[in-house]
Amino acid sequence: MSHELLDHNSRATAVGLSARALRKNRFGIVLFCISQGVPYYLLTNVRYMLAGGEKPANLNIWMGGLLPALLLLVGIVPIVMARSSLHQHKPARAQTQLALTLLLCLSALITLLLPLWYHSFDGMSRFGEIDLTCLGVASFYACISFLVVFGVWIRIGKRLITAENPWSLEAATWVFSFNAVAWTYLFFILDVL
Amino acid sequence: MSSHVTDLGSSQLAEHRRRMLPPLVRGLLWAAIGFLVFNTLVSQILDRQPFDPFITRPSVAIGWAAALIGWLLGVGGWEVIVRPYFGYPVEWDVPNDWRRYFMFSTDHKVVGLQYIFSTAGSFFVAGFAAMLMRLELMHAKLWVFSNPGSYLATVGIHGTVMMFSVGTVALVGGFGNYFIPMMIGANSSAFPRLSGLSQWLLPAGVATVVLSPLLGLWDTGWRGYAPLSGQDPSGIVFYYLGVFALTTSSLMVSINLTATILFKRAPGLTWNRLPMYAWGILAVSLLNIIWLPEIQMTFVLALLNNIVPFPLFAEVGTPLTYMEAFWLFGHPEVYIIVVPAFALWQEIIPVMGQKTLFARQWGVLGLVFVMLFSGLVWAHHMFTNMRNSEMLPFSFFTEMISIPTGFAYLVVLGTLWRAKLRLTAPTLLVLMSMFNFLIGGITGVLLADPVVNLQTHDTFFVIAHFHYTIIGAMIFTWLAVAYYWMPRLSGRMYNEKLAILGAIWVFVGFNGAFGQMFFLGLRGMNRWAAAYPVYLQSMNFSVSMFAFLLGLGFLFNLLHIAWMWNRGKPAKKNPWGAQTLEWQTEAQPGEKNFHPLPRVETGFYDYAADGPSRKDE
Repeated sequence: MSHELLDHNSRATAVGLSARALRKNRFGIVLFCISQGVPYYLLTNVRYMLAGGEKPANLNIWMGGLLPALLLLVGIVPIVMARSSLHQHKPARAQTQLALTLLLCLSALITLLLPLWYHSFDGMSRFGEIDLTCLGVASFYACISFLVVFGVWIRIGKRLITAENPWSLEAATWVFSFNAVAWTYLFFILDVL
Repeated sequence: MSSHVTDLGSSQLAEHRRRMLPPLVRGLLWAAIGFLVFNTLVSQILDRQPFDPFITRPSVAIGWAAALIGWLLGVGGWEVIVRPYFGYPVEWDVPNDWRRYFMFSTDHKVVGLQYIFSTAGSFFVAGFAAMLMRLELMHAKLWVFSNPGSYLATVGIHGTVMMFSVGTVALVGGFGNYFIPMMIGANSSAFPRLSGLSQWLLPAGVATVVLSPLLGLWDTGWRGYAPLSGQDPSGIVFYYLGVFALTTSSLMVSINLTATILFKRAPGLTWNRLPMYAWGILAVSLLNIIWLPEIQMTFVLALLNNIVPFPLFAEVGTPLTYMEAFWLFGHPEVYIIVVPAFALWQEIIPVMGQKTLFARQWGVLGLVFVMLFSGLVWAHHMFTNMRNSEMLPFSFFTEMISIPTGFAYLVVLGTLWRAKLRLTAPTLLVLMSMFNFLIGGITGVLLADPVVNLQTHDTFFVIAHFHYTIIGAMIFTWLAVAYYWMPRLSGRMYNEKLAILGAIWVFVGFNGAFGQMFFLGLRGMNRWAAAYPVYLQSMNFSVSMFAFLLGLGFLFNLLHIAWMWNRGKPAKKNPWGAQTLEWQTEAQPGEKNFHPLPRVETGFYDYAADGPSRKDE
């Protein structure tokens, strides 16, 4: 046990935050993610209460569905790799990897906004209202993710985030991954199950 | 000058201060610019509507969001959060005088006091609305308000401000922010910038709700029921947006205080030694973290009905879905309000009796189980919409929750037993609070029974019940801690005789007003009605008289505290002989609490050598 503690401490010291401060920050971001998971739980209930299991025949499973989910999930890979690059003292590479995440996030945002704009279902219909609401919520969180990662991208460029102080990048990874997983979950509830 | 968040020298700071408008003025200016730009953009360019109105529902929602961002940046978010985030030096000078309370601060003591001032202001705004309501109800027909809609909008503003910016906030954002870091032996909260930001959402939210009638009177009350709210004028949009700001503020406070309690405790402060108030804040924070986002999403859905518009909750049967979603939050909200009060009873009574806290572990269990059960009782608010068989589990759990609530009582009663109690104003107010909650609790058990519930639904009986639990328990405890911690907050002591007079004054006013409301409800007085049958007028007149007495009583207490804050006799460092850590430091806002950090070696509630806590050490 003492060996584990020592190992954890030395790793935390290497990243510029004490082990306790790092745990505190992680705990804070986990609380944030838990709190933001609740609206998705509510939307799940509202979807079944308002529209039952209804799925219209002309449902396009790709746009505003699987495509943004895939783009966001794939976007997790480069942001995790960016963290690794930063640990290896390669900020330029980390920035490139984050740019890829940003591109994927932007593409996901477009594939969410397009069906929101040219909605195929009447907003006054049972499925239409909940579909548009979910797309709106997902677009909002995708915007937040984009802004958070974009901020980190700028900060790495200014060398404000380094191998010794990578917490902001880790926090952005949490936020981005939460959004990707939450939308994938909502997509399954809305369009698949 | 205290410049605890700055990277600049004093001459540069002085130059910066000369250049800058006062933060509050700048916040208002940026908010106004944000609103005008984005409202105009939406209403005149992106989403023009017939007859070309300057303010539309979508434009006002977008304009409000821009105004909120402008406000938060203007009061200091720009210098303290945004610029440093991008590597620019922190240029934020916090003067060591009254001005620090009117600007962004990361000092938990300043943030705590800002919250206390904001919630006190909100309390009197909402209280003024209550006085207008009682003035109207002195006569059976409309005579103060020109139409029932304006009466209902006043009821809505009263309820919303009381629930979301007083009840949810006063004991958590206010005293919690100030005292929790001190009580656990820390110098700061876990996320100071988050804490500073959360405070400035509160005045923005209150202003939004109070100004909502400018856009049209809304008549749904604090529940904002959809699809009814879809028929309201645009004021309802500001209701939902205002509550969004208020609940976001409380959510941030809860995340911050939970992390503070878990990660900033002084060495030696084990879970067995954690102050009761910290346990209460922990329980209520977990409730906030789960249920506030839930109500936010519910209100977003109702907001979309008004600004897109959608027909959410309008189909046959689905209004019930909104009610379910609302009360899923609505009942835990009651415990969000009173759980810190339970904890504070257990904080104050051992000190005033100088007696070991009785069965401390059961007190902690009570707080935790009230928190857990509070999520299982929501549907007792909806018995009129349910089959008999569906009522049973909610009736059962509502009665069950009285058991862990009883733990809080028994712990205090056990501590009172044979204690040499000092009958100070805080003691008296705690005892009054316990009495009031007992009445609220017993009538709550009655209302948990469907037979009584269906008979008294939407009558003044229900109003009396929840005011006994909320004002009776929480507001009286709020006053108790205001007197209890006043020597620590201001360094001065209040006048004991005036404080006791103030306590008796509000107790008489409160019980005279709300005690009669039980009978008024049983005689058939309905809620949400500005006009009522004439046979109820004399009793309503009497209730109003006691309500005015209560209002004056609160004003008397406020004036007394405000006067003594500056003119009271200097207080001793620890006038009550308390053992908790906030009394072990004399740090004022802008100063470190502890240097070096304390090491905790015993519990805080052991006043006897053979006390139960002592055996745990």
